[in-house]
Amino acid sequence: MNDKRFLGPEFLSWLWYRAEVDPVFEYSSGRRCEIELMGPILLEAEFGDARASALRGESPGTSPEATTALLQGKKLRRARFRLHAGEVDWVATLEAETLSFSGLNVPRAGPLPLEEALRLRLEFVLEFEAVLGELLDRFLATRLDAAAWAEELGRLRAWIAGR
Amino acid sequence: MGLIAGPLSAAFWRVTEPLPPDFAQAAERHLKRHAFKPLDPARGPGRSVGWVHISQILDSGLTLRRVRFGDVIALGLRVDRLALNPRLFRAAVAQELARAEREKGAEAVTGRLRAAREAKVRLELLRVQTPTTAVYDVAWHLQQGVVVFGSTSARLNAEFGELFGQTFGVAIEPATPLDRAVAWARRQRMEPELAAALPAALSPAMPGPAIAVGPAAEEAARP
Repeated sequence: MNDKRFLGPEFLSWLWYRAEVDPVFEYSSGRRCEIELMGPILLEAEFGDARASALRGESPGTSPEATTALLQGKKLRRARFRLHAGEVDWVATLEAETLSFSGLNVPRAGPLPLEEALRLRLEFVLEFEAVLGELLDRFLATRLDAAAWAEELGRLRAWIAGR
Repeated sequence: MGLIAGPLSAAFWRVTEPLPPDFAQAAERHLKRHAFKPLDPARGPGRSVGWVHISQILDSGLTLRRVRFGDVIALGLRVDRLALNPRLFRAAVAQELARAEREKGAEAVTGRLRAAREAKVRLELLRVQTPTTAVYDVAWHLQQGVVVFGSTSARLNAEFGELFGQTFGVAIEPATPLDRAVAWARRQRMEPELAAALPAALSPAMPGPAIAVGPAAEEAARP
């Protein structure tokens, strides 16, 4: 199953596409979440001479360099995303292959006892995990359904072509 | 920086089986067994990995009651590393051997004496050296079966998964896209679809079909 590692970069690339084309999704608790690609981003190809493109700046996702990298067949390897649901904002850099994250903006708990502070911060982190998990499930449902994926892939390619 | 304060860098894991009936007793025992133990310089350079209290890295006297916060088990994984500075070591050994030569003559500096002086210098250097210490927060939500481990390093995550299993007697798996896809496909009875999935060419400039490579593809292509 290790040869399915491509699912991670495809998932992050799909999230980017969703962020630009259809950024709002509803998750099972009935809440709406908006996806936004931030920076920096790292794109990587599976083969070739210049395999990686690291882009920084205000909004590297909208840069011509990002479009070139996508056209070259590169996929998102690492990117900073913002997931916004109501009054909650999760901002973190996601790693495609492991879905580990860095720099998640967990709110300060203030001068609370350890148990209470831990509960509050963990609640924020676990909801992030749940949203991320639902997004991944949503992607997998499309990705593993041949007909649905053919359609989605067509839209994804059109998005890249039209950038 | 981690679960108690600051931004968090971490990986998610999922508990894949129910708690064993003797969970409390076994965890109590294994928390002590896998508690952090300081390095002994007399045993040479090395690395020590073990559990500490989540808010006090010097406190390794853990019990289940002390690591349980309501529905959450939280603790720290402390990793100490004691290493010799090779440059300093070589210089100190050379100095020692020069001194021995001055005191006893060149012929006295045998392989045996050299080994003895090296051991002496190693111990002296390690005794005055402070180990590098890192602590990674861990939180396990018992109801949701989700574990947060405060490191993104693949090596540390693998080590953590093993130690967690040995301590709490439950299997956990990393929540990577691959592992989540396997679990999702199993739930949806879509394992064949997952097995057949190939990398997609997302670029409209190169829309050719992906080609499967590797032993599995060779096996599938065999008539």
